[in-house]
Amino acid sequence: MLGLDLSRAAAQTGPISFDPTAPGIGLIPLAAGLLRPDFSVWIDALPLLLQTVAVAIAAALLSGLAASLLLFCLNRPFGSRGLALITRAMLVALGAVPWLAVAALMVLALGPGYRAGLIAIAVSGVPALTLRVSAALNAADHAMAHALASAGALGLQRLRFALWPQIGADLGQAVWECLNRALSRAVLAGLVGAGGLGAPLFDAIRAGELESASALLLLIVLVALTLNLAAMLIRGRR
Amino acid sequence: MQDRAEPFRDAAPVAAVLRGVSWAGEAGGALSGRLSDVRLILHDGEHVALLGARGSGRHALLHLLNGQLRGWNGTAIVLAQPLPKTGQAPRRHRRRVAYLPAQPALDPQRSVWENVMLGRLGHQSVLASVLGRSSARDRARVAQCIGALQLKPLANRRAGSLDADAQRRIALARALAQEPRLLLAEAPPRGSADPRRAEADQIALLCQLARQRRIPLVFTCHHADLAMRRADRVVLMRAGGIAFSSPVETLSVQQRGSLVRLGAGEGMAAGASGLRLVV
Repeated sequence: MLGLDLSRAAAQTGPISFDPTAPGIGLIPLAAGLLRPDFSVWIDALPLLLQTVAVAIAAALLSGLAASLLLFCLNRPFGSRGLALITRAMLVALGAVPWLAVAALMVLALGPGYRAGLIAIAVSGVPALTLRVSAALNAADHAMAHALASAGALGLQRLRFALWPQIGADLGQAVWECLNRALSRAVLAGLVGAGGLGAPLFDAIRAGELESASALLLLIVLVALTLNLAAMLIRGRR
Repeated sequence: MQDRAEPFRDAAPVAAVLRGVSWAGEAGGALSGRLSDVRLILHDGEHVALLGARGSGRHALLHLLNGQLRGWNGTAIVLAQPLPKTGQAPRRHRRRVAYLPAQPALDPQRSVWENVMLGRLGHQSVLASVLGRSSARDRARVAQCIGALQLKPLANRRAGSLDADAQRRIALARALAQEPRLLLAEAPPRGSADPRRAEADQIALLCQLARQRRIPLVFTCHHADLAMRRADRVVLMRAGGIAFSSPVETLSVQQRGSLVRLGAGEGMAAGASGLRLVV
């Protein structure tokens, strides 16, 4: 209808361009390939891995920063009712946009590379983080904050001693989930050329180099496990 | 009457003056009720019991004196400082006026000591308080308040692990730790196990501590007989205004009977028949 051959377009511009007429290789050969990882690709992949992790952390930090600012607009003690409504609508709309589409648009705007991935992941992480922390803030009991305000406590003191004990755990969990999501997205961002480890991974899969793909997947799993272990240690220390 | 140690004298200096104060509660706001042309003079060292039904304006009046009420009209001078009408009162005012809410509003995870120390926030810099640094004066004041409320054996216990009576005492110790020059208190919630006894205990303790420190006290009260036993003056509020105000000493037998008959809480909305307006 639009003058496009959709099956051809899907094959050429989809996440991974495959020959639509080629038969599948079968599950057993796939499993056999994946079980023989070629660890030599790790050396070449290391810089991209670092870039992926750095993009994920930076994106999570940017999301947290933007969420902190938006919380002031979203919560009534700070912002007006109208501003809160507009902010919420904007966040819901932003959350409905597929993040990979944002990444593709960023690539279009900024060209291929990690910058497009960073912005797309940071922007896409904002709605969930903001709405979750805002919900925790709304559910918090403000009686303590009022009691401290009447004792002469300033805003930061009320935040630290009345609100933080109630929302701190929720906030930590939300930031952690945001970082995890950012990590998986930083890998996938390679699909649209937005930097990270995703590009060589999907190149390897497309080329049928299952040993290389397997080694790269293992590397990603190891990073995720390391981050989880670090988080557990931090929680244990607290 | 016989429990009042030292009756208030008219010659005492003034702690607060309210003239023509009006306020309408915001729909859906945290504080309900309204204030309508409230005129009140609170003398230094005076103990005033606020009686009235829910929504009669007692809590709004306490919030006003605390400098937490916004958007009111009229004149309010508390501890020689005019209160701002739109924003929160300055920190210097708030730390001189202690507010004891109906619910203790404690951090259940913190120890009794730490909860009482929160009363010193108004005297501490943000950085020092966030870093958990307290001065020798802060610690001495907290220790004194904990001792005065018989909380010393519980000082290291988590506030959340203690019963309602102990939690009320912690909240009172936190209020006293502010070194207030005016003490405001809400009656304990009616939902407690023995609300009359909880209220009687709280009023007795409040009056005793306030008299020791010679600070004026304004408290809400559900039971008129308790108010008349402990306060210097009773103020009956209705529909946001002061329907009746009189020193307890000058109350006639008929007025006392009327106040008691009006009963607690909601019953006070029925009317103040037999009570002459003496504001």
